[in-house]
Amino acid sequence: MARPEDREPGALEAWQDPRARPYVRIEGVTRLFGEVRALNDVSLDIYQGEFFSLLGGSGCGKSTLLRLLAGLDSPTRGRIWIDGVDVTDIPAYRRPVNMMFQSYALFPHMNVEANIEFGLRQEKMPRAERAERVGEMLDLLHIGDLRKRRPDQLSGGQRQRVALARSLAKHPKLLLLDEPLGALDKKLRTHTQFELVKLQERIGITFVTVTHDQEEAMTMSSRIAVMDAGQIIQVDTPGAIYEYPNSRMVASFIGSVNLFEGKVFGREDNDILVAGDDYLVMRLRCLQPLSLGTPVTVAVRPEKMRLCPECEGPGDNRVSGHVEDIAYLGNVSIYHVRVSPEQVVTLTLANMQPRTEQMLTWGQEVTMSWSPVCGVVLTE
Amino acid sequence: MIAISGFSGTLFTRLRAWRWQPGRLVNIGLPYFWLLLFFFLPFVIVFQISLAEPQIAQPPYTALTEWVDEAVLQVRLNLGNFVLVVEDELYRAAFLNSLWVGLVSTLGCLLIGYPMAYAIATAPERWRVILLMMIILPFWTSFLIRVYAWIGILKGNGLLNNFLLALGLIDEPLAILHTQTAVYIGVVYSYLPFMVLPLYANLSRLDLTLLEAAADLGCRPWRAFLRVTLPLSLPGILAGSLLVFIPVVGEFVIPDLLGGPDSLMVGRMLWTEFFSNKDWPLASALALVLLALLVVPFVALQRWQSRLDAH
Repeated sequence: MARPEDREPGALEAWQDPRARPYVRIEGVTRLFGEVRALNDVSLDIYQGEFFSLLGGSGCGKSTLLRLLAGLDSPTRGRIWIDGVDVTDIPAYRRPVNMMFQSYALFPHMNVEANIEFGLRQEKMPRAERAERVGEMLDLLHIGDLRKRRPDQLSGGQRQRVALARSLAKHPKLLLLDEPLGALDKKLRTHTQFELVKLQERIGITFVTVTHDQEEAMTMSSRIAVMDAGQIIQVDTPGAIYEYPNSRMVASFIGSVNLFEGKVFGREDNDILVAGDDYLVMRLRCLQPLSLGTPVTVAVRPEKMRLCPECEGPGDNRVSGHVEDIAYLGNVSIYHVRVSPEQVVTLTLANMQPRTEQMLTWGQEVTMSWSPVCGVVLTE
Repeated sequence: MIAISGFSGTLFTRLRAWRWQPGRLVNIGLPYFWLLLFFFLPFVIVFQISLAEPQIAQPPYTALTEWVDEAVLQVRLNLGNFVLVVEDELYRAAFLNSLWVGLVSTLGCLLIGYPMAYAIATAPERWRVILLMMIILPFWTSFLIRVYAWIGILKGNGLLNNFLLALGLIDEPLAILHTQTAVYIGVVYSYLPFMVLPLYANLSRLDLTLLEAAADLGCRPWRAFLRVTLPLSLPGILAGSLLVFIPVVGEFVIPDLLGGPDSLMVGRMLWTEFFSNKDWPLASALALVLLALLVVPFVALQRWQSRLDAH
């Protein structure tokens, strides 16, 4: 998530700056569980102050990677550095890292205060200082009036705050969050996403979260690593991941997307020409050198498509079909348009008119267009 | 029984609400009927005997009531048995010794049973059933036979002594049988499953992410055990300890078979009074004092626990 107000225009982000030193460095990490490769030669750099998300479906290895950072598990091969220190062989209880567990893992026999204080007691902090730190955390997360309650007397949202307070109390160098919003209901989740980002900006601790929810990752993260089958497929800012996915997997995992298969058959300046099925010819912006005949996939986001004839520009691609399904979501409607017996194209249109004046109905013939710069050419 | 008595306060309101549902009445009434028949009634009978005096007759105790005249019913309540039980040095020693044996055995069972239960609870799934089986399997042999087997192990030329002699660790047989030590060994062995099973039930439910959270917050494994596992297993420890302590205090067979003349225990005295001395009233008084001694800490524990839950 770009935060323009903090930055000078044109300033480099840490990950774009070749002189910047990564805060967390994961190098060639492999983790085997018997025969299963939970992580396969993963390398990743995370910079100080980032809100970094590991995104992927279940079983992609994202939680394993988080546990390796916490020290709750150790890699079969590879090394991990945090703030310049090789922590690979340092046990969890001596790492300057704290974790917020998916289940929160609050100690049921201790009240909120004792839970937050737990980590501070372990490092033998003097009592007065401990009390001060606990107070600071209670204030930070607005849970002061819950201090004497036990976890079973708290709501889901309150528990989440207590868990967060407990993991932040030791001022860790790195905060790991395992599905931090997974146990909250939808409305609270949206609200908490923004709060979490604000909190992270205020305290400046580097956050690494694990999530399977792409919307959550998009909202909160400075950068996202999309993972699949124990490997990192793409690491980039939410915008870049969405607009310029590097593979079919990333394109279809993040948001919805229309994929057209085809082969390169020509080039004009910065554009290539792709021949798809059913005589579909597409012109796409592509700076990558691709030889003629290369099979490619063209990815077009549903909201990048427009209805003809209204806004057709020069050189736009067109595809026609008839409306098969309409999902009315209030602000937008999603249309499924069958363009060939095998393919349905998804089209998202903002509902700028009241519903009664909707432009499309079932079975209607439509032609959609998109500009050459709106399609992404994928070879993987 | 304590838990049910708390529930009985609402029984009448419930009964009133269910007046037209006899099925429910039977349902709720059955356990009460059971308790009345097999707990309360025997208790009343024993209480009544304890207030009588022994006599050589059938039954071997006097009746509490007697018609002295046509219209005069004389009630004779003999409190002497209770006075004797409380004041006599011998009985007092027996009670203290029984409580002591109960306490030491409970601690012994806890010290051995906790690691066992922990090991089973953290063992891989396919091992658990086998390990639990090994705990339960001895129950399939008669309790008496198992205690007798210990005589064979502990006696002068028994298995243990022969083994230690063969190893050269001792020069002459140890006198273990018919001592207090033998009683402890027998009791701890016999009652260990009662400690292990409730502890296992408790520990197997322990959320392991809590230990991970403790480690993450800077706890070494041993401290994590002390600050998380141990406090959370307190209900299991309590349940196991009560299951061991209560029957051990009244235990009769083990001290009789393995103990010596010094292992004076209430259970054994009860037996002697009932069957050797035929003094049923005194035996009943002993039984009632024992019951009181066991119920008081039990109620206190229940109170304490419910207060703990309320907080």
